[in-house]
Amino acid sequence: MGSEKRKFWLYISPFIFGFTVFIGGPMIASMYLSFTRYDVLTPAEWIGFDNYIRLFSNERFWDVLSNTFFYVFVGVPLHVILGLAISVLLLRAIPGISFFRTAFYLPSIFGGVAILLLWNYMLAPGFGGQNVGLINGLLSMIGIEGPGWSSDSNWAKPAVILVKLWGVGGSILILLPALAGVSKDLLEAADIDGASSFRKFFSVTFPTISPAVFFITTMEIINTFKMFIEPMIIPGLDKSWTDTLMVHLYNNAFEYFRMGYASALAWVMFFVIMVFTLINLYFAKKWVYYESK
Amino acid sequence: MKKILFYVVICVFLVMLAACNGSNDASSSDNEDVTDESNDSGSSGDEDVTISFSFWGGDFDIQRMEAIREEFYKVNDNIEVELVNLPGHPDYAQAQMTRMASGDPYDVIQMAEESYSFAARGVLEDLGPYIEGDDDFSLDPYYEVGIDSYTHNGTTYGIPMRLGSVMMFYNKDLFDQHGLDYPDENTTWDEVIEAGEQITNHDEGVFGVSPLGGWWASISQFLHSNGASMLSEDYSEFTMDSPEGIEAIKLMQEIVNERDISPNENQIPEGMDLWTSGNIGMLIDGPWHVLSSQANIDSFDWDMTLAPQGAQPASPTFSNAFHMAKGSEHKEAAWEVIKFWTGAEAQEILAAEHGDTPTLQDVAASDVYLDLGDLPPENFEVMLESLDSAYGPEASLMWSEINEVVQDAMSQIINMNEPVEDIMPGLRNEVEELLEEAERLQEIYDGDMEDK
Amino acid sequence: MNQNKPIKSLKELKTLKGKDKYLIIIKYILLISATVIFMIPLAWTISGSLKASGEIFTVPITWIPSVFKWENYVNMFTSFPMVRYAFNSTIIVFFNMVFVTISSFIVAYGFARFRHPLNQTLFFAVLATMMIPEQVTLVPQFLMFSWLGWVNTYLPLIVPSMFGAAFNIFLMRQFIMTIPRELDESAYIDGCNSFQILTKIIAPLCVPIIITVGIFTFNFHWNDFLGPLIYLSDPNKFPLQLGLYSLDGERQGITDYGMLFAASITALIPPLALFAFLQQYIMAGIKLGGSVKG
Repeated sequence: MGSEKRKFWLYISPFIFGFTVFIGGPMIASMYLSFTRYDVLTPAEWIGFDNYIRLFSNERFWDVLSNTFFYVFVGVPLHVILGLAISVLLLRAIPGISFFRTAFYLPSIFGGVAILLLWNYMLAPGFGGQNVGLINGLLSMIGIEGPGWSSDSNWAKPAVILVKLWGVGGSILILLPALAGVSKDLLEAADIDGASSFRKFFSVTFPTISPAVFFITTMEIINTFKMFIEPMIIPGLDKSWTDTLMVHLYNNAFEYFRMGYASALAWVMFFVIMVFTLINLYFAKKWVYYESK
Repeated sequence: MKKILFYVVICVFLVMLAACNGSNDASSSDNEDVTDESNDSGSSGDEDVTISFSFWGGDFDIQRMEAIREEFYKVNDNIEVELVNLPGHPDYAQAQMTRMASGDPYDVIQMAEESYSFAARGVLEDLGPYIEGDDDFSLDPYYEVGIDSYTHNGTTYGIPMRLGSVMMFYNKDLFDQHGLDYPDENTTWDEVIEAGEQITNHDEGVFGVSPLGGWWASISQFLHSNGASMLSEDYSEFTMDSPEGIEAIKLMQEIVNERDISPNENQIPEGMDLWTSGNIGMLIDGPWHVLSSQANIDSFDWDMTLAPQGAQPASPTFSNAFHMAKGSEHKEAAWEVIKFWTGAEAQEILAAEHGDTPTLQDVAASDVYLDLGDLPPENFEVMLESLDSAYGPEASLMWSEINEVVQDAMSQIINMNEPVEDIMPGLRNEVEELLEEAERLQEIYDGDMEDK
Repeated sequence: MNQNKPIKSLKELKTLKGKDKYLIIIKYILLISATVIFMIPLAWTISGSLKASGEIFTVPITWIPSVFKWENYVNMFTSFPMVRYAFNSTIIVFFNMVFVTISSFIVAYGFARFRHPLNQTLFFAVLATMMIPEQVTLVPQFLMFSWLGWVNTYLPLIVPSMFGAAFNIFLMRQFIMTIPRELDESAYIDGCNSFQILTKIIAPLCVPIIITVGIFTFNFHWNDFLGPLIYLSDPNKFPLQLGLYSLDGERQGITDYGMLFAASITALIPPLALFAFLQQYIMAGIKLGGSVKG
């Protein structure tokens, strides 16, 4: 038995080491830094809660916080619903299904700068019906004059969400196997009872896949809180429309050399994400169904 | 046991990766120490010194730097120059900070408006002693505006090779079409507006004036020509909302919005360049348009003159200078590099491009620079004239951030036509906060310096 | 009728009657239109990558370039260091794939197979690290790496991978849990030690999840932007994504759109190829608690 315990430690030791060096240690350091003024080039100086006070009195912080909330509250539900809807469509093996599955999954592997730069051009609003990007070009083909996207305060955030939704395929990858695992016996039993498709979905299918739904919801919330690259590459005409907490953090740490302030911001973000995760966990008890062993 | 072997393999990998990189550093710094000593003792030893020289820019800049290096090698045997082309703003300053933080800064650093924010943190070398101690070098032949931009509180930290001011380029064909006189050195903003109104033709996508306010020099040109400024002279107060300032900003807003003779951000089409495609009457921007216009314009005639005047002429001037890192291990050699790169031979290579103005007045006034042969623009000499009303950027400690918030506010005014009165108080708050922080930091840095 | 019953051929499709027939027609309409929406951006950029700059943004949209400008793809190699960037990306991605897969697999094995009073707690800690936003550790990590002199090398982008990644550990542990313990036990009786069991018994059965994790890692690091942005300053060391970023018009004057499109499209090919070859493993690799028995 003792040997089993030793082996346990042995095998998980890379994680323990990595955690200590790359997560635990830096977290403590970042906590300390958040109480200092530090610009890397000159020595750190203890300033108490100043960074936190400045943070909460900084208008930019509230802008980026509310932008981030917008992405979380609007983007995440859309992501989950769209992911579910497409997964349901993709579930049944019908001729051509692997083509369709690939088509939806593909965009999610194109997550980098390359595709976002292209999106930037796809969203070009044009002027006087000329020099427009793909999206408004398509809209004009069906007689709609597209919005200004990044250059319009109301559309800059939806533009970012739109681009992110295109990558919904990653979640489909998790939802599909979950859907495939729904018990056929149960569905057939529901059929015999004459349940409608809706009813079947909510009383048989959804409970079974709820752990997967919960999983992607949680991951999406966290990823959205961390969103960085999208607003960097597809910024609004006024960056305060689109910038996220993470962009604000990056700018302060690496462009304005405010490592202390950035660390304080990181801890505020940590706290916000924790609260959201806990809320999510709390509600999860009400709708996530775990098969008893 | 196999699992132990496995861990050993992983560890070896780790060590190897670290070593590849560490050993390079270690061996090279060992060499450097040796040469360093020889340099400090003043002898021109035979050991080779490698000076790392970081700069930003595109293909043009890289070619120029390499050409200068070739010349440098002809006269200098024992200094190797490693040119490092880094990405430009805003990543450039971060790259520099990173290198400095890791204790391995580039020896020679090209810097522009960030010069002061680095100098204040005590990471740049005071060039004063080098200048004074070098009989072959004097600041006198240089344009004052160039040197001033890199002299902070009486200390010179950088020496520029090139500078340029905001100029006005104009499309002669469009002026001819409307029977208008070409603009000249005395053209005022009122005249620009008048001509712009005639030239503007929205149906054909033609605008009289180029986009305004997209960067500091454009805003500054309006402010200064109107007798206003962004900050007070000592950079301690926000002065953009003075009556003259407000007037200048409203004029920009009017030109873009009510008059609609200059495109706002939404009117700038994707996929084409308005000026080189002949859709702009007057382009008010930096001198790099000389080279790009020569290369890209074949469908119309064009020329250039000074940027328009308001109450006074104003030519915001930008430049970049070569600085020395305080952490450099071969300062004497670094100085030799800076000296050569800003000297006459190097500047003649720059001058032959007929783009940015050399900072040595003699080179700038020579035919090497001014004689374009058959190439446009005819009035190229105004490049020198612009330096009469030249002034540098208001590059305070918080430059990049102040610049950014001002830019955002101006974008709201110009591109979204928000009332100036609504935007200014918020901008004032933001800038004042930054200025306060600057003051606080300044005190700390000054204290640190004294401690040293 | 179970609506999830597979339909294997077109012939079978034709035999559908009544409600089923209409449902399947609606389904195809939905699928095809959604696919078109998802694929149009790719089609547009591929067509743009073969156009002259002036033609890309025309209205109405032209799908077939009036003149095929293959030079865009040539320029990509001549006036843009595409090969070097791609090579740099490959280096970063390769080491990460190897290291993170091996280390995560070992840790996952530890969690899946060895009893310890702290097993559950520590596994929860692994999951919890997924919740820790990396920005909390970003600044100190940066300081640590610059203190080590690792900035402007690939080490900060690679070394952390040697110690496993929470998400991968989670996926792999779930997968290993589905492998019957009896297999381990019989191997143990045959004289295998735990490491041999890992390499000889568990690993071969875990090929799908190993490949899945490999693909995820590939995609993550191929597309990673923040890491290289922070740690690399020498353009000669840039990976593709950072190289493309610096190619973007705002930074370099007049943009060569055609070339930018061509380079971006080319950057998409490696993840696409990897996916195409290894597609079937991904579907088999994902096993989340609750969705699959085990």
